[in-house]
Amino acid sequence: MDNTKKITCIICPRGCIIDVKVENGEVKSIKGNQCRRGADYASTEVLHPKRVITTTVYVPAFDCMLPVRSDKPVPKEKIKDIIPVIKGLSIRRPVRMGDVLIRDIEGVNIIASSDMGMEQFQHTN
Amino acid sequence: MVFDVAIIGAGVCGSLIARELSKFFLDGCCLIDRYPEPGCGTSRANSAIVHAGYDAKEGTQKAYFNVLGCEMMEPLCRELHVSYKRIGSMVLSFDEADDGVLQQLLERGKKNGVAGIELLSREQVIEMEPNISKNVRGALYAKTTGIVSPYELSIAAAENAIDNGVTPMFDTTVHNISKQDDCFIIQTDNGEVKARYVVNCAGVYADRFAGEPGFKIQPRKGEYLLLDKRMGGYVNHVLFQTPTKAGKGILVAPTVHGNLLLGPTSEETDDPEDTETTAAGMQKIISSVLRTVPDIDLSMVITSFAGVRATPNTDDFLVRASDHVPGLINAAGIESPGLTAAPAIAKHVVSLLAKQGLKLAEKPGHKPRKPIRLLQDMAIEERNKLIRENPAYGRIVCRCEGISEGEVVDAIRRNAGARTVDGVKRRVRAGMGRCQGGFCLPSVIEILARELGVSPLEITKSGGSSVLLVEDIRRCAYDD
Amino acid sequence: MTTDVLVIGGGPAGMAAALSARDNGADVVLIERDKRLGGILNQCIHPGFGLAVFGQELTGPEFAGRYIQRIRETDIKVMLGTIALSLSKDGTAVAQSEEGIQEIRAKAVVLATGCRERPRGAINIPGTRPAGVFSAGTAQKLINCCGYLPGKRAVILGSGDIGLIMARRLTLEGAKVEAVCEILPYSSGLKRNIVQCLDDFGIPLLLSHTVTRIFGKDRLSGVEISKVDESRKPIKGTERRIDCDLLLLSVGLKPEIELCVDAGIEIDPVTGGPYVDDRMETSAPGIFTCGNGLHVHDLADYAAEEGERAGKNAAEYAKSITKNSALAVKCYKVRAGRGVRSVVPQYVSSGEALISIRLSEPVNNAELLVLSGGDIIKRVKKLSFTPGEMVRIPVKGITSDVTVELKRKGVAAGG
Repeated sequence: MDNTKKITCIICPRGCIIDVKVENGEVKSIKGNQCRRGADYASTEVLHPKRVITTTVYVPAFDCMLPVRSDKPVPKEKIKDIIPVIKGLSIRRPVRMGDVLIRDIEGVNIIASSDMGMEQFQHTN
Repeated sequence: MVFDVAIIGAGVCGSLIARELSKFFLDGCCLIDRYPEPGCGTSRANSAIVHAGYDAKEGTQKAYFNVLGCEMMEPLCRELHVSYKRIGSMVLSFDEADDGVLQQLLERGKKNGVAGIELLSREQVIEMEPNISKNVRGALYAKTTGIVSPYELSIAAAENAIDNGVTPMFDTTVHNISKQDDCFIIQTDNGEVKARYVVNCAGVYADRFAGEPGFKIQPRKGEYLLLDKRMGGYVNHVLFQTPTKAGKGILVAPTVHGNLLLGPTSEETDDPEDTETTAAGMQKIISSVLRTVPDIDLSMVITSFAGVRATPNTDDFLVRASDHVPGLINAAGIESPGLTAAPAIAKHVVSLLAKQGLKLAEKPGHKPRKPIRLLQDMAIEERNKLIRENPAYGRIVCRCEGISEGEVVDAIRRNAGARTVDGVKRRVRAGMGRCQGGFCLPSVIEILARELGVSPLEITKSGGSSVLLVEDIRRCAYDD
Repeated sequence: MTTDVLVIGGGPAGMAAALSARDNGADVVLIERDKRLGGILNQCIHPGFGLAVFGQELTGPEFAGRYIQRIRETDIKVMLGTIALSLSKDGTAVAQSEEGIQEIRAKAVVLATGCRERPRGAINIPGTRPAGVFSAGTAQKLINCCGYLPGKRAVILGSGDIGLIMARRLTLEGAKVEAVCEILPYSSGLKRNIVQCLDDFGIPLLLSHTVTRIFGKDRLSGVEISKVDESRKPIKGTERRIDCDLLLLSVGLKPEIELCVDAGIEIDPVTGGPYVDDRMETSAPGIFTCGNGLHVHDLADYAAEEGERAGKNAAEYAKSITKNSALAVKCYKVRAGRGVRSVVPQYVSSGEALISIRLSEPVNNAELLVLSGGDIIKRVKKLSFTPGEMVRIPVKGITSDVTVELKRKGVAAGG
């Protein structure tokens, strides 16, 4: 079954329109890219689109919203399954940016995107 | 309990009446309003002009109360610490017909007892107003015209009334008033209120309670455009075009806070709460003001709004004791020059109540109103002293207007205080600046929720069901 | 309080400026009105930051974190919860915080005050005034920092990046975004955001559409949208209603220039921010500016880079004996020519500069020319950009006034 998908590349501001021909679940040809990265992006995007997830988790102990992210892109269709797991996080201690909050979910870690529960600076005057 | 007096409507009239009554020993006086705060109806959205009094027809209540009220306004605003400026006004003439109208208004003004009115020549007008159209032929100048903050006035009067013993009943809608023997029974959505006397100043709904067959209020909407403070000095006086049947016409006026106001239009509406602005309305304002100030920079518009006039079908105020219902005093049909007339109407209503039999013994030691002092108006040493006593005054919440958390908290805690985001805006101007609340909204919601002891989900923009936040998404797994 | 360099604003531009000023030997005070550094980055929890500066794709807080970490390692005096109430031409700021009000005297000042969003009144949508109409950035703060949804069913006006980002954010938090309307015939947002925020979720992008009416008494109940013609006027007969309880406005950003106005600094009406030279100095000697407070950026990375330059030059100014504004001294003007909407800097005092431009219209495969005294000193071929994307061009060999223009096929340069 022959299928040509049009992809707008997002790797750089050029935004090349790339035609990707797919046959039997395999990329047969890529046309329209102006660089290698574009070609890579286009083939991944057509067959296994992935996205980095970012969302927030409420931490009652510090009464604030902690921004979190997946450290790598996850398959797009898995996003709706991962979000509830993230929202169910229970964080009770101060957190450093980069701390792993959920290990190995759909092949990625969910990490803290910001410090939380620590004084940023000594309050100076 | 049976109140001596129940006042229906805490607009500028009702609030001033309440304040007057609070100067006397009464066996209870309550101030009832459907909104969470005073001055949320017509008193909130109008031209904010204190009219000189040449416009109202001779011999009418409008003329009588206008001229009186105009003189009372300045000392009253000083007492209540309300922003007021006497800047004078001009009714402009652009053609021969206009010239004739100016002459009529001059004569009428003299008959009504207005001081300080005269005709100006074209040269005089242009000298006093350099940005005015060069097509102007002349003007009727009135020295006594002023500008005021109408909602500030309502709030200040209501607050002062409550400070002095009046019972506030906000968020209370009156459905029906009946009389049993010598007692009025006021049915509200918060239960029954009983009173010996009722003052009806219910604005656009006043015909419902007037007890006056044939008396009808026709709501009439007026749309406005408000311009940035950088345009506040574009004109020096209130500039009118000649009045028409529909009203005083579209004006250009500085506001007491330094903005420029254009409007109002005049459209009859079926809905007494129709404050919708329309593209057609805005167009009308623009084409009209271009006649007065052809070079005005309209990119300086920062917002538009609309108010509804309570236009009576009698063409005049209805300020009198009811012939049909003893004990009922009406202050109804208060459209322009209602704001100006309000202080005079308030005093008159008190005398009407006395005539109806209400015993009025003066109460010594009437508490004056404490001013709302904004830090930006204080000298640095005083500000620092305040901040040392309370660091909340050092935390800035509104960048555009420079308002601190402490000032927002004060606005909520005072009597007749803010209960809504718009209420905070009207008291301390947080949310009135260039970004129109974009920056300060989250903080104002948080402070209101904390002070009122409710969830942020219950905080409204302007009362009723105008909640700002729809869902709490701070889900988390564990129990507290 | 006195210091060498005062930086006002602790967002990406301000933090970079503070670090760069410190690196160049100045004593630095950095004031920030929020309780923490980061500025707008703190609410931008999505990735898209750091590609240019760090070669990595970071979220807003992570990008901010890189600078915060470095600042912690220096002796830069950071004053949080502190706002500049006023600024005088000679570099004295009056600042307010919980500790009170104090004067800060600096030899040089860097303004990094960011920008604000245009509100509803600026575009004056007719209709009622219910709760439920928010600027996109305010909604972003409510959702990401406060943890509340301001609505469940949204229409977004404006396809700028903030609107697009919020379309995705709302969807991920369980709201339904009915449509994104854009008054222009093209989107002003980055292409990556169209893909990842709209296409991913099947949210329609309605170009040449705008919101013409707002409905709802207390709470928003719907909007009327209409198609517009080439002059952006609504076309009668194309109106249709979309039921919704949330209208997000992403209709433009304006540099926060209140302190500039205070200090009598000259403002470029096209960018909405101050005139500057290639050293990022304004018309007031010793007052520099950078980031969104100078002109609206689409990438925080570039705002930070500008901050770095401003900080370095501010430090040098603080050290130098002669204190004349470069704008007052001999300076070449940089002019926006055909096809170019704005240029920053608007003046150059040396022979080279990094010129940031915004185009008037989207271009595909066009050629951009930089002319100095009639000679072409730089040529950028195959340019493909929308006005939503800032183009930065390093230029050398400036010997007189400069013009930046688009070359159309078959038309001679400068013709």
